[in-house]
Amino acid sequence: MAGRVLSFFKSPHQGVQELLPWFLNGSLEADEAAGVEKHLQSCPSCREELQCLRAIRDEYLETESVPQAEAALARLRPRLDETASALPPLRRAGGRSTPSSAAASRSRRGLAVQLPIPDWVKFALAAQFVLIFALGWVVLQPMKMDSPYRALATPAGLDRAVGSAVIVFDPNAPQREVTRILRASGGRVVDGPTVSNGYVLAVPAPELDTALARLRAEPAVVLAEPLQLERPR
Amino acid sequence: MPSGSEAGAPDKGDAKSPAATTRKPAPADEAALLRHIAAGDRQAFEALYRCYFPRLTRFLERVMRRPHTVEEVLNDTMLVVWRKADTFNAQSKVSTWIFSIAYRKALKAIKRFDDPMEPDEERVELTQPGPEGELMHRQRSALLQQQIARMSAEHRTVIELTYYHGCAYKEIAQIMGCPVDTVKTRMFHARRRLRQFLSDRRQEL
Repeated sequence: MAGRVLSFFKSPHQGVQELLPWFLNGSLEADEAAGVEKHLQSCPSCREELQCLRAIRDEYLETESVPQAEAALARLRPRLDETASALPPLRRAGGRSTPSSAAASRSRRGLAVQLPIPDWVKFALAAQFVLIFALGWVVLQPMKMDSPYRALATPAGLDRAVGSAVIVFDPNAPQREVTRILRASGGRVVDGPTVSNGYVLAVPAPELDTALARLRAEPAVVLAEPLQLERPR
Repeated sequence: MPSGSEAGAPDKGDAKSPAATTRKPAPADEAALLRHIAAGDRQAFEALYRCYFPRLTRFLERVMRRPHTVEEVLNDTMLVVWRKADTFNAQSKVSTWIFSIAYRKALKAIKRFDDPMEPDEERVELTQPGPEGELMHRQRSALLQQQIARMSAEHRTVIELTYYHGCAYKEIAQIMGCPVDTVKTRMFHARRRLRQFLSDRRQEL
């Protein structure tokens, strides 16, 4: 017994001590149990240990709840239905079957997974993917060539004929004054303020010269120069 | 506590584990149920569910110490049984297979839920007053539960499977996916702590 039950490095006493909980619950195999019993007859320490284990077990088993299965099962049932609908129809059709049909169903399920795919299906799938890719390329090409990038904030008409100007303000100019001048220019701020306190204004092309003249007349404006935005093709 | 009269004679294993003595289907019946479940038999599944519900509830309560997540983990476990019944390897017991699923689910849940465990301290105070001896017994039992609650999930699992479910150490090793020596070592450490605890309490009470 000792060779099978006990580790090479453990004494028989240690080996038996380790097995006592399972001797107590009656789950040891016959030869193990016989070996433990034999050792117990000559070992008061192990007998005392067994008494202690029994005491622990009895106290451990004191508290026991009696749970009710039905409510929890009712909550699980919808998930079983989900699973059933996700299974191959063969299993769903299995219903109340006999064990033999269970095995048959299992093998059929195996077949469903391993069904060979005909070659023509593979070619058809490959051709379909090639066609989808080619159509996608054809459709996307013109968009790439003709459509300029447009941000959502780009004002309508800006892509038709837009002039723009760089305006640099006196660093000491009050913010209120800067705002007033920008508003009065008739343009829209599309960039800035930059580190040099400059703004880029987008102004409809016909009004660009007038706007620049008005800006240059402002004492707070240090610089107001035209800047041509790239026109869309 | 057992009487002192037993101490002189050699003890025998008495297989008192409640799960081992309560009425439940024989392993062969369980394996048959599982075959029906593999074929999609809902009635067979519900029969197995009702059979395992009390044992799994108790097991998950003890391992996780989070009563409000027990049903969720139990149903997740049984859903795996429903879905994977055809993968059951008939070389092991059905109970070993189901408990190993439950154990893995419990460990995952413990990691997932970062909430506090059930405060056992309250249990002692809520104990119903009764005759003095009974009260002391209940108190000691509740304190023992507290002590076990402080152990790791692995130690609690070994204690629960041994004492309540009457599992053999080899089955426990299969359920926990570890070597049998690890099971014995965990049990040995747990026993030592509980023994120390009981001897301290005996002096106090």
